Amino acid sequence: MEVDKGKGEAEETRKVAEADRDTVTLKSSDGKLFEVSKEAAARLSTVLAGMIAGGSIDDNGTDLKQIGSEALENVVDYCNKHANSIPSAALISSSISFNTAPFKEPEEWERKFVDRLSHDALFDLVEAANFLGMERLLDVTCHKISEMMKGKSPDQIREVFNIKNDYTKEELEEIRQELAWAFYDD
Amino acid sequence: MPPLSSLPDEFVEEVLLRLPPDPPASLVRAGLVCKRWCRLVSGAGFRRRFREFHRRSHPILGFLYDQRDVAGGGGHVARFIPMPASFPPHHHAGHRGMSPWDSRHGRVLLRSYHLGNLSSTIVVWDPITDHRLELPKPPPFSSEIRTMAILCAAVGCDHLDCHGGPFLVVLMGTKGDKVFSYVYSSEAGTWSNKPTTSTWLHGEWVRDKVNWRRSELYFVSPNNKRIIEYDLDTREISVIDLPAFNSVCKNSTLCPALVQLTTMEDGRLEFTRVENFKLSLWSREVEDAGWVLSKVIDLGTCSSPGVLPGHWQHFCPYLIGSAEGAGVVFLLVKGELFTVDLRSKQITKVYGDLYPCIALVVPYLNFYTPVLRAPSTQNGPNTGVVPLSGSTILKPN
Repeated sequence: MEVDKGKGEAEETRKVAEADRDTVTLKSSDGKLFEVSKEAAARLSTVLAGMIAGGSIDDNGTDLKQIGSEALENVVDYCNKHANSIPSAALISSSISFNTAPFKEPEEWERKFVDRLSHDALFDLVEAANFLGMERLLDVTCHKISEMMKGKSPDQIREVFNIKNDYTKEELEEIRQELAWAFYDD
Repeated sequence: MPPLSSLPDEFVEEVLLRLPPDPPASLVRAGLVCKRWCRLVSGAGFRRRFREFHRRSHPILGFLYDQRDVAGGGGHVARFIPMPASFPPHHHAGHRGMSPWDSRHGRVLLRSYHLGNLSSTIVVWDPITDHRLELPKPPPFSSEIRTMAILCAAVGCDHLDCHGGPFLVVLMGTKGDKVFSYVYSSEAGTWSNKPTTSTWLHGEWVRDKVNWRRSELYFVSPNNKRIIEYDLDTREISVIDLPAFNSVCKNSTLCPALVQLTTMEDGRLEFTRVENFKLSLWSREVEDAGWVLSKVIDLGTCSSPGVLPGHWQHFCPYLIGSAEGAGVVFLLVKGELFTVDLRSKQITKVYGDLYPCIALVVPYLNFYTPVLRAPSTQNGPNTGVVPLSGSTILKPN
């Protein structure tokens, strides 16, 4: 009984020490370590919030085997930038749901954050944001990708995103004729 | 580079969901990128989510105006002008002998225009499906109808795709010093038996300024500097005074083509007025308190270069339409039609060469999420594909 009590106290002490830290350490699939603001991680990621609340954060680096170092660096960068920015009331609202929330424009710094990413990095970040349950980051990255299609013809969109055209010429022509109203400026 | 198509369907759908709803053609273009995208944007679930996602920005698909048919003897034609790449319009020639009165929740209200003719016809038109419904004759006050409004009558409706459901038409008019209202219910198929009446002051009543907000309809009477509030639940009529302007208009009537009722972002009623090439926006902090000037937009300085030339300042702009809930007003300057976004202050030219005497435009706001008849695809069944139409009634999952 004595031993058990001691173990319990040690566990308690470790949890208190962990709770006192301002940051958590995350480990990418290729073994790199990243420090991130605990407050921002808990606020922006439902998965990390769950891990922090459940005490399953590892001081030596919490393994995130599904996320490569480049994507994780961007995730951490986003969280830390978010912690330093003054969040608008819209972003604090915790009741928004990714699937049903009305669209909210990215803030200026979020725009700059995704603008500097390559296509590869952007797509990897979409997957990382989804894995970590980061609704806002998913929102911002998907918005960026959709903006890249704005005002572009189907040909141009295929070129930008390296998509194979699986329509035949006849099929495309048939649809274009039926929906002529949509191509007024082509 | 990994193609976007390497991402699972759910991500591609999230991206496509964020395409702007205005113009709707952007969805068609996305559908022509590849068969998988075609299947995604045509799915009933995606189309419902798309409307929900953009529910705060109903696109303006077009507008109606009352065109004088000079060649045809001066009669009226309710002409519909679609915005570019918005949807395939019907009735290019317009509705002859009709005049547009109001539009809301995907429907347009038209009325035959025959001076002194007591048996005027009221028609409800769906521009997307081209379905026209002639209503039974209203009760015998029709020669004094001053204004009319149409709105969805479905309980708990989100108004994202309700244009096939039940609707109400509210008709208001004056007789002597009384204001009266009748309500037509599409479910009952009849007009209300007894009118609601209220005492009114004598004076002209302009018919075209209607604004709907939750359970109230507002009709503005510039000549009397008053707004009529009509409660749809209790069917009671009350009167709100307009702002007291410190201008030449004080103690005189307001020119009806200089004012519009608009809606603030938080849903509160707003009153917009044009004077000296400036728009002034008035709101009420508390419902029962007076109006305060909340914003002034200088049309001369906020316009993009060349859109609304600065030297036009000596022309009197007319405020002839308001896209309810979108925060957009229609401005007629020198026979050309512009939209002004009251939030972003962006001015866009939407139509030139309008007959200079038009007094109003009725904006048509709706979502148009076309279904592409995709060729068969290896990526799965063509779920939800129906013949081209934006009118499919979708039930929430």
